[in-house]
Amino acid sequence: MKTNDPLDQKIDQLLASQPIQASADFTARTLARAEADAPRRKPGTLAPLIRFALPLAAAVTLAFSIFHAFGPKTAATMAQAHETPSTLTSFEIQELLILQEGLSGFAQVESDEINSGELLDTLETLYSI
Amino acid sequence: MPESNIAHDQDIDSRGMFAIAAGDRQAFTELLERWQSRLINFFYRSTGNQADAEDLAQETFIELYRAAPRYQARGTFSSFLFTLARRRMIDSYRKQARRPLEYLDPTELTIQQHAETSDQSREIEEAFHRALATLPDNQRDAILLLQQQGLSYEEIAAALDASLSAVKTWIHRARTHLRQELSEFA
Repeated sequence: MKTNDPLDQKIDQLLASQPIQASADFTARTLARAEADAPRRKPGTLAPLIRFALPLAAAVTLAFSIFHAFGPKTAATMAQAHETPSTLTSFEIQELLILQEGLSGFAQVESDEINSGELLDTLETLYSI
Repeated sequence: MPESNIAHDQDIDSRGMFAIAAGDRQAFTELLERWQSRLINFFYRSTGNQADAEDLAQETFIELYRAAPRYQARGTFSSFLFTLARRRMIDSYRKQARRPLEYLDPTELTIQQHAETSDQSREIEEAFHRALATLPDNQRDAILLLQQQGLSYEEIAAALDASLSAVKTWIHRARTHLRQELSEFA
């Protein structure tokens, strides 16, 4: 702020001042921490596997459940079906779909950088079940 | 600092970030050396304690290092850096569940920084620190980013995630408050 008022000038001077110097070992300490942090940043070998395995597992589970609900039935299961009503309701199927949605969200969570937004969305979806 | 130099520095910093993302550790060292004093002094004006200021600056640099692969030179580097710095500060408030300025130890300040300065300078520096401590966070950050760090209003708005008019209001209020608190030194 450009002013002739001595108090304003003093305040400007105080605000602009940088009264302290970094400690002599500050750079070294920070580099060491960054160095220690670096291995964690490297993508893990499991990351690509997890990225594909989780949605695959979810899809298999879903397919298995649907097959059980609507697939061809053996004589025994048909006889049983006559006796007891189907145990998988449309509500449960809906739950399975939501579960699949939630699990597929995990595929977007990379091991080197966890995106908190995506993780939160995924957990929220799972929690709502 | 002339505007052309600031633009040049921005280019250096953005290039540095891309180099860090590509695995160039020397680029990180250079960026660290270029910004450490400014960042530590920014935190120091809020914490009143060199050790805390250095811890916060270190965490901000680590955050910057991690963010390098995602860095895009959309805004200026300084507004990006001070966005990270402000987040660190907010995190530290949360962790401590009280304002770090409560740790302010005027004796330490006096011994550490102003042993050779005159009584009056020491007095005004302490009064200034107290006045700064009583400012709301947004006002203090805004006026420090303007006066101490030389950011433009637009950069401050980006760093503080606020509108331009809010930033101008905060700075005006901060200055009025500081004038009131330091009026006895007029």
